[in-house]
This record gives sequence, structure tokens and C-alpha cells, in this order.
Amino acid sequence: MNLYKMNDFRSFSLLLFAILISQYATAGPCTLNLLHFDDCDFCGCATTGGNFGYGTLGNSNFVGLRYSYQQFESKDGIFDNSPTSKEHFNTYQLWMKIPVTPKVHITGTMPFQDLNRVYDDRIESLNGIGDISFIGWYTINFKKKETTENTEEEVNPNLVIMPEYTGHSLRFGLGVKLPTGAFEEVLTDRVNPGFQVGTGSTDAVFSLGYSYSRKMEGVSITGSYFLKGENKNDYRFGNQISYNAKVFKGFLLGTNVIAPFVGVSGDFFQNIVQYRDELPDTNGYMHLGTVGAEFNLNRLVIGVDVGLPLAQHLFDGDVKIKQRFLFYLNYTL
Amino acid sequence: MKVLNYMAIAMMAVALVACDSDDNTNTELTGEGTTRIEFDNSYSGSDLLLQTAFYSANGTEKIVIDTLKYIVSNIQLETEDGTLFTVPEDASIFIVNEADEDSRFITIENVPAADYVKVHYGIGVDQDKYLQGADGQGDFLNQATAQGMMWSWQAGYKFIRFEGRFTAEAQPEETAFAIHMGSHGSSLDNYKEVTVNLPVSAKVRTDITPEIHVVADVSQLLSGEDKLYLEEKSQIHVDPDKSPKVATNASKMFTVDHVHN
Repeated sequence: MNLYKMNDFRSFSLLLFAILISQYATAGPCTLNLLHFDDCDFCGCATTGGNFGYGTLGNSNFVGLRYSYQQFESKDGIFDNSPTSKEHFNTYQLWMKIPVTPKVHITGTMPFQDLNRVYDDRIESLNGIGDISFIGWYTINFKKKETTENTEEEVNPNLVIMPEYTGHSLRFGLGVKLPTGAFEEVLTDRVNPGFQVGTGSTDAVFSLGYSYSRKMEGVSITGSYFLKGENKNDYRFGNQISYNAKVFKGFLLGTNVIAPFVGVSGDFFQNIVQYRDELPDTNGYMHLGTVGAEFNLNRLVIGVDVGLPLAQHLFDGDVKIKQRFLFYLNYTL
Repeated sequence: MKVLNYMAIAMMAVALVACDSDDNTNTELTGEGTTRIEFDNSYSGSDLLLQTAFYSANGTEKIVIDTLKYIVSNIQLETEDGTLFTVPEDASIFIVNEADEDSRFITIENVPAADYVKVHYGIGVDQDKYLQGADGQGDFLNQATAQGMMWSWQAGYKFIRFEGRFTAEAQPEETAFAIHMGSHGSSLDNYKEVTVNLPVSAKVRTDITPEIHVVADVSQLLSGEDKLYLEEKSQIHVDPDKSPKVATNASKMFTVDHVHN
């Protein structure tokens, strides 16, 4: 237990140290901000209050609304012929990105959860405020060694392109998710314990992101580790690694930009721990293929992202994600 | 810079809170609680359906099950260090009847608070109890009679009633089968003890009532270690050759799927 605690602390301190040190590195404004947001974490946009979403195309600060829909199918029972239930996870989020210094920004997310589980003979519904989360981000934009010739072609007045940057950037995120959503112990006995408005726990989030963009195309990769805390019911959701990678290309539509993208995203979960016992078969993974687009219309950003499963194994196959849909609307401040 | 420092300190504080979990595992447990055992009957991984589903037995026969009942007795709970809690005899004998939902849930009260990792129980009625005579059976005698779980007092209890219809290659006409297994008076003891391990311990506390979900794979009765072909014999009652085989198969059909704490 102590060793475990030590390790967590050490990695945390290291990250913190890295952030503090890198604060002294070169400062400069971003080039093209990228489509980089961490997608939902299962148990989900539901339980971990999910969606440490942040950052969109070309906006350093915004307030937005995000809707996410995830559909799962889970077994209502333990047998091969047990009936299945369809689970609909609707999450409405108020999210914002606030710059603190040129290289530091904070993202905050406040979700409202509306969950339905449809059995053969009944419907189970759950809704309420989910878990609020905050992440502090530190961004390093890498500078070019020497400035080469400036090719000034098709400069979009909406985009600030600083040619002395290489287009490569790294992001570090440190955050916390608070137990503002209600956790109902009785629901843990179901096949999908992720059907919860909140985890009831305080969780830490560690993120690392890499982006590259050149003109209006690029890639964005983000990985996050969720260190989950134990809630007052002696229940702890499994720690989780999430990743998200995207390739996008922007096109000009008059003065507006449309940026379609394709990518993959996924999660790995460790076992749930209850009363210090690891619950068997509560670990797993899922990988989704994603496709979508982001539209920049003056101060508005509209994004759509559809995810379909490529591979998955959740709760020993008893829970399956069927699809995921995200829609967001951000207003640049 | 200052803002970042404050932010870092705040986050570190929060992260520490998140990582900190108090160790309260070594505190002495006191008091008593309740636990429940669910007997869930299945057939080769499928939830058992009476009267409607066709199941394969030994690959060559098709069966429909109409009745499934069995006697569970002498329940004991065991902790990691081998401490046994024996449920008082009178409160420790039940008839599980697939057709009666309530009968599949057994509630055990006044269990000392502990982490239990094994459950022991018997299928049937042991000789000690049987030899106490009719008076020693208490209310259970009436219960067993009402459920058709008695032959006669001389022959004793039926530990399992497994009835239905079957077809086989050489017997395409649907034919009734009945397997009634029990001890034969005091001449043949078919009572079997079963031990099942729990995947996570059942944590009985004054405020926690664990539910132990036991699955019985009924396909084992015919297709288990000892193969029994209905084609060969479809009526097994007081059969000194086949009923011990049924007893052995029955004792091996139980597993614990999960425990809810």
C-alpha cells in the first residue's frame, strides 16, 4: 500500500517538476490549436463523469456545450441465454477552456447525466449532475532551430500562424475529478456497474498529448491515466488508460474552416476493487474507430464525432459498446 | 508563475487525497450479520428453462425437463484460516425447487462477522438426521412430503427429483424419464458433501449482507463424470447401481459464479 502510494506520488511529483521546469522554456502563442480531446471514459461519460474533453480547433478559450451519447448492450444475468439490456448514456456537458498564461490553460467540465437501461420488461432510469472535473494543462510549442524562408500562401485571417514554430507541440495535463455525482451502491451488483451518474470518488488524471500541424492539416494524440480513488462504499473503479489519436485536414469555406478527421480511441480498464478485493472479470478494453468533423463559423465551433467499436472485451464480454456519438458547440470568448 | 504554483499545490493536495486510502482491514470484527445463498440452476451455461427448452444429454439424447428439486442441508461457512461456522441444523435444511423462485434463495442469519471463502453443504439428508426417526425431522418431514421428496419413511428422502421427457436415436417417440436419487433407508448412503470456493470472500458484517450466487449445472446429472443414458434406463428410483452415480454427478455440478458484498 505504501509503495503504491509512493509510486503515485513520485510520478506525480515528476510531472509537476517537469511542468515547473518547462515553464522557463520558450514562451510563445500557439499555432493552430488542434482537434485534441480525450473522449469519454466508459463507466463512462457515465461514471467517471467522463469526458476530460478539452481543446478544439483554433480556439484558445471557449465555453461550450457538449452532448455525448453512448450505447451499450449488457447482459441481464449470468448465463449464455440471459436476456440483454440496452443502455443509453446521454451526457450533457458544460465545458470551458480558460487560458491562465500563454502556455497554461485550465479545462473544466460539468456533466449532467441521463441514463436509461431498457430491459425486456422494464426500464431503469437515472439522471442528475455528474462528476465535475478540472484539468490544468501545460503546452510546449517547439521552435524551429533557424527561421527558413517564409512562404506566405493562403493565410487565413482567422488563424494565427507563427512560422518560427515547427508545428510540433506537447501537452501535459494534471487534473482532478470530484465526487459531485451521486453513486448508488445498489447498482454495483448489476452486470454493468458503469451505469452510475458518478463514481463517488475523487480521481486524479494525468495526461500527455502530442500534436503536429502544418498549415491546416495535422495529427493529435492524447493519452491519459485515471487514478481512481475509493469511494465511501469501499468501492473503487479500475484505473484506466485512455488514448485518442486523430488525423485531420482543414478546408476553407469562405472565411470559415471545416476540418474532417479520422482516428482511433480506446480505453483499458483494470479490475474494480470492492472491500479491497479485486472483482474478477471487471477489467477490459475497447477500441473505437472515429470519424467526424469540426466547423469553425466565426466565433462558433461545431463538432461532430462518431465512434464505432473495432475491438472490445468488457466485463468478460458481458458488456458491449455499440456506438458513440459526440456533438459539441463552443463559443470562443 | 505564481498562479501555476498555487495550481500545482492545489492539485497535489487533491491528488494526495485521491491516493490516500485508510487501512482498516486489520480491525477486529465483531457482531453478527446475515448472508444469502442463491441457487441458480442452469444447463451447460444456459439458464434452465422448465418444460420448454430442449437440451442435449450425452450428445445422443434430447431432453425436456419438467421438474427439478433437490435438498440442500448442513450448511457451513469457512474463513481463510479454516474457521468454520456451522448453521444450526434446524435452520440448515432446504428444498430448492426450480419452479418456485423463492425457494432458490436461502437466508442464513446470525452469522459471525468474518470474510468467508468457502461454503460447504450437503445434497440430501445425512444418516445421522435420518436415524433420528420421524420425530427428529421436525417440520421438514411435512415439507418434504408435500414436495414429493419422500418415498416412504422406510425408504427415506428423495434427495433429487429430476423429471422430464426424452428422445433418443433408437427411441424417437417422446418418453417420460424420472430420476429420483436418495439414500436407500440406512442400507445405501447417497448423501454427498459439496464444497464450493468463492471467487471473492463473502464479507459478513452487521451492515453487509453478502449474496453468494451458486450455479448448478444440471447437465452434469446425466452427462457428468458418470454417464447415464436414459435410453438404457429412464426410471431411476431405488437403484443401487445408478443412483450412486447420480449422487456423485450431483455433488460436482455446483460452482460459485460471483459474490455480491
